[in-house]
Amino acid sequence: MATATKRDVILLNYSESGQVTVQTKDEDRFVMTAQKAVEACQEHKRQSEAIKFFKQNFLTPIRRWCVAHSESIKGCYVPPPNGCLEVFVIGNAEVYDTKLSRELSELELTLADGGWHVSMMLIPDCPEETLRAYFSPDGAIEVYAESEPASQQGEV
Amino acid sequence: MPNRSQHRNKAKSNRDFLATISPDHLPWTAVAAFYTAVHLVESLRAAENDHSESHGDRNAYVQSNHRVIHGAFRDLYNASRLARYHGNADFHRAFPDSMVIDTIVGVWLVEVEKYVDGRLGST
Repeated sequence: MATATKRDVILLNYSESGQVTVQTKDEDRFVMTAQKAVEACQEHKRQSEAIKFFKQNFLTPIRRWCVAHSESIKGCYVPPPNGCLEVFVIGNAEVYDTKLSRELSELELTLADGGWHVSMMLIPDCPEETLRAYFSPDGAIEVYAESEPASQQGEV
Repeated sequence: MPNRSQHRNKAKSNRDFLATISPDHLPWTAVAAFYTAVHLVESLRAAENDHSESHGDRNAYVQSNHRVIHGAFRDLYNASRLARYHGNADFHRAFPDSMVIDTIVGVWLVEVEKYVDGRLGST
């Protein structure tokens, strides 16, 4: 704005009663700017609500499931979707836990009922470098990890 | 896109191939078992004049329409991915040899086969 002049900016008049009026010559430009500002606010509100919905209806049920199965799992991660939404659950047994997997399937179906068609993969305990074959930790959401600090063991 | 019959033929071909895989290459048994199941599920979808666009789309179809086999189908998918992306030693720790034959093929694939046979007939 350092180079803006009084001709560039849109001038408003503020009355004592709280009314805001635009100088006639600036009305068109005001509408354009105001519309963009309103759209930006609406988009921000939509995104905020969508993120809140994602936390409450997607992450929280997964987190609860992880806590309930904490004796069998080491971690749970949601990487940035690449085509489809995926969740990776890391078991703490080296052998594929068929019982745990079926319980994960039930969670997947529950999420699907809520409109979240997600693919959940159970990965048996393996070296960390092997996990990178399935997802990159960069940007992945850690929904659960064993031995979390007490302050992080609450809800999402 | 292939029709129901073509998918069933492909499933049978994969099943026949699966039986020829050497015990030295059991990860491929898991892969063949999954792709047998893929064509069985696609035969169900083809019967509705539809087909899957991706693994995620197919999984969503099973979630919504064939929940009874969702667990088995998902396990086959997981085992197939582990077979392809785990090192051989890690895969064999996750799926000891007997588990590949008895569980992946003997339980999960058979569960999908029986379900599809029940829906579409065994031919």
